[in-house]
Amino acid sequence: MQSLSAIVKQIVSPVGVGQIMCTVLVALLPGLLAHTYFFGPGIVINIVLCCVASVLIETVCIKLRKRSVYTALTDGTAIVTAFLLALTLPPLAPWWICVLGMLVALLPGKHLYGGTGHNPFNPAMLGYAFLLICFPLEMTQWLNPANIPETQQLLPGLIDSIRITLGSSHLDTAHWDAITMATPLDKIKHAAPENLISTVQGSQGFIGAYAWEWSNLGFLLGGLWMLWRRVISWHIPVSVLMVLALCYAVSNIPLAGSAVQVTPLFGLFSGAAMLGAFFIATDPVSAAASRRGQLIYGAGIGFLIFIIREFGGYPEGVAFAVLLMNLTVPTIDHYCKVKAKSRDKHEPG
Amino acid sequence: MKPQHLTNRFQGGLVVSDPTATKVLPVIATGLPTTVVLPLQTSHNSYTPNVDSGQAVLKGQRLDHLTPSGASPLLAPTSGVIKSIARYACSQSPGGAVNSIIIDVDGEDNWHPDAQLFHDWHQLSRDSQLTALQASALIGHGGGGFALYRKLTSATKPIKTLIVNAVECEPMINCDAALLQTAANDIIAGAFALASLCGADNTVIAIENGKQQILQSLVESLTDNTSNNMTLCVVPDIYPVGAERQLVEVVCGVKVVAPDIPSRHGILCCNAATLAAFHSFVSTGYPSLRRLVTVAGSAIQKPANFDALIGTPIKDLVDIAGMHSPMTAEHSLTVGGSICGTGFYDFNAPVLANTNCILVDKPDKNPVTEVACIRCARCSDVCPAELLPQQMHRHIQAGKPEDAQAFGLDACIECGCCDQVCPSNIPLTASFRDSRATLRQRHQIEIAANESARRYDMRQQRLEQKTLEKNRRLMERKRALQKQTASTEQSSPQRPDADAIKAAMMRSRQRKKNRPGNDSTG
Ligand code: SF4
Ligand code: SF4
Repeated sequence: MQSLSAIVKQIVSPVGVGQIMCTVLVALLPGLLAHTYFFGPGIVINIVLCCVASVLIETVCIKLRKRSVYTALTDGTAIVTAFLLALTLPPLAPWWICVLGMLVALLPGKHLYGGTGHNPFNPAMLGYAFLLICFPLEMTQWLNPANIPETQQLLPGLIDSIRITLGSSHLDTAHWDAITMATPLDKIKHAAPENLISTVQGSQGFIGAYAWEWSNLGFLLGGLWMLWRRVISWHIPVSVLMVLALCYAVSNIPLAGSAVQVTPLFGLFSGAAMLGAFFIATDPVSAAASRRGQLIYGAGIGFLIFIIREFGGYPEGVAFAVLLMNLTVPTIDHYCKVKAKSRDKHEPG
Repeated sequence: MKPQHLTNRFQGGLVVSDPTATKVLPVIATGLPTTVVLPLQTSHNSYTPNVDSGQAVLKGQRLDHLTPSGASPLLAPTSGVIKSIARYACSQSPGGAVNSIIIDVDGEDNWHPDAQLFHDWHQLSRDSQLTALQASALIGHGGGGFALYRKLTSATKPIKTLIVNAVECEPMINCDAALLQTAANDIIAGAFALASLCGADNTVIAIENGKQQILQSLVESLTDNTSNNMTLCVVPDIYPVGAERQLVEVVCGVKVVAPDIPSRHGILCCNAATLAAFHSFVSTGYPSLRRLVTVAGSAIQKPANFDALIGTPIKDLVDIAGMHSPMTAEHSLTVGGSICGTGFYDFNAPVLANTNCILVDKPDKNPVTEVACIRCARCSDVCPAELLPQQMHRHIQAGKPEDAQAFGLDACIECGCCDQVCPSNIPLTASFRDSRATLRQRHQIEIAANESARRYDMRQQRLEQKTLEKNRRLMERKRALQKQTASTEQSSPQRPDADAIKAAMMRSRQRKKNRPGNDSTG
């Protein structure tokens, strides 16, 4: 006879941390595919580089901390961090950008605080923020989406991409300039007021920024799947996206003083909005603990993304919004002690 | 009678499919054990023994000193001789051992002459019924181990509804099902008696969905008994619907959050087994000192429900049930059900009034490893007490259980739902149980310290008072003397006893001179 209590346990407890992280990785695939289709294989190289770096760094750290390497690697958190960082890096970023980013993400971001479960900041975003501040040039060289006819031929293939990433091959400046560009959000922000309308129209796809909308759609799809699999709860993504959309809607009212004509839909399907809302902000370790606290946390992130996109000096606000809200988590948690009260459901009040 | 299907829900909880749900294990009567063990400290009671080792005791004899708080007494479950009063294994103590009375059973099973508390329950006044109930030491047979008398007297509102909790606490526990099948009439009779004692207008018997057989037997018994204000409710089978507060929420729609108790809302919730014991007490006048215990698990050969004497060592029952392979230290023993039972290591621990289930499992081949909390909030989603287990865990890990109290540690019903869903395999419930025990201990020490500080202060005050009083009296005497002397001096300047004083002084000087000599010789 099999242990009956073991059967009970199996039925009610189907997941461990490792399975959760695997689900997250699978959920990233649709967005990743869209990304690769429009921006070439560079992103895949980033992912491979980041994963290798991540496994190496993680192993060394765990060995130094004298813990079980097997347990640490199989929980999958380091790989998820690697994927998230890689997805936010420009496709043709040099290899050392990936390695350096992972170093910052895992060393000060995670292991200095005591490893998985103890990090106050989202490790991937810490790595990204570090890179953006130290290497602004490398970090803002985004490729033109592949389907614009004039750049399609110029976009490097897999072999070329690897060469460029590893630094063994250089594109001449003209070529480089032809295939790279600022992200649509960046362009809109820096467009002169008289060109604004045309800039917005020029980068418009059918719902969001051209090409970006597809990767956003992919991440949305993956996010919804995670919701369905109950890997994440709705609280953080919904509050992030609602508040972000609301901010764009308010800024569209002429009286609000802002001239930005970005529709809420455009805002939601551009940049890293969906990736941020479903995959980055929902990192449970650095998010608020209670569901009520998560609503506040998500709302804060949505608001900060808008503020940084509109008024900050950076093209995208997800990373800094998440890091800033990470700082507020202890306070949010302190004030969100949900405590049930006795009540008679039949009596009003 | 038609059962009423309820669909109300409570927050959180788990849907658990229990492989044993439809099977009712056989009931096996056990004889007298050779030893019985009675812990002096359980979760709700602590006793001071009034007996000593070597003393002979009779069945139903009171073994503890009266405590002022109206706590329930400790009764000898059978006759015998007290072997010792010493530390012994106990499944309800976090340390695993507690001071206990150990009785060598003589096998006579003779009742103490005072053990029968009355001859006819119905002729007693309500107050004497309550006193008799207290003296019978009837402790709830559910999980909580709360004395029935305390439950009745803690009501601040008149009791309107009596809920008979016939829902099995959790998967694997089978004793309530067995009792319902074999003694449904006793339970119903007990419910009637208790309803009239507490004045409840209506009685609800609650049973979980999916127990068709038992439902059928209950329906039959209820049709036999004329029962106007008794209803039968089928509640959704969501764990822990058998927990008192959750059942009250489902049946009455009243949410009761600890430290609040249902009886303050006019609701009394009573385990079916408690009612059967109550019935046996009411009909005979003798306290009920046995209970049904499920013994099961993967290592047990013949799982069964044992009708056992309270105080029987667990080992005796496991021996009767038989094990597939000889008992080793690797076998895991769980007291309570498979979800919220406490892992325990000593098979010598006794069966207590609220021990409903004993699980013995084979050594776990691939034990799970606990990793750090990733704050995924699954635990708080399923917590029926609407707590934040992850936050409480965080504070407990930081060594601050009192901070966890700010997050409602005291309202935790120790249901184990959080453990079941935790992807990091953290034994949350066990850590909550331990922290609560630590805090309780700390609290008791504090109370004791305050008490001795108070006593010290009182003593100081008394001493001060005494000195003051003494001084006052001295002064008075002195004044009186002075007055006297003054008056005598007035009458005769020469004091008449001056010679006597001189003689006394001489004597005293003589004594002083002698003292050093005494010292040297002595
Ligand atoms: S379920 Fe476990 S890992 Fe998740 S928040 Fe609760 S304690 Fe932490
Ligand atoms: S054991 Fe306590 S904290 Fe855990 S789910 Fe049950 S009531 Fe909530």
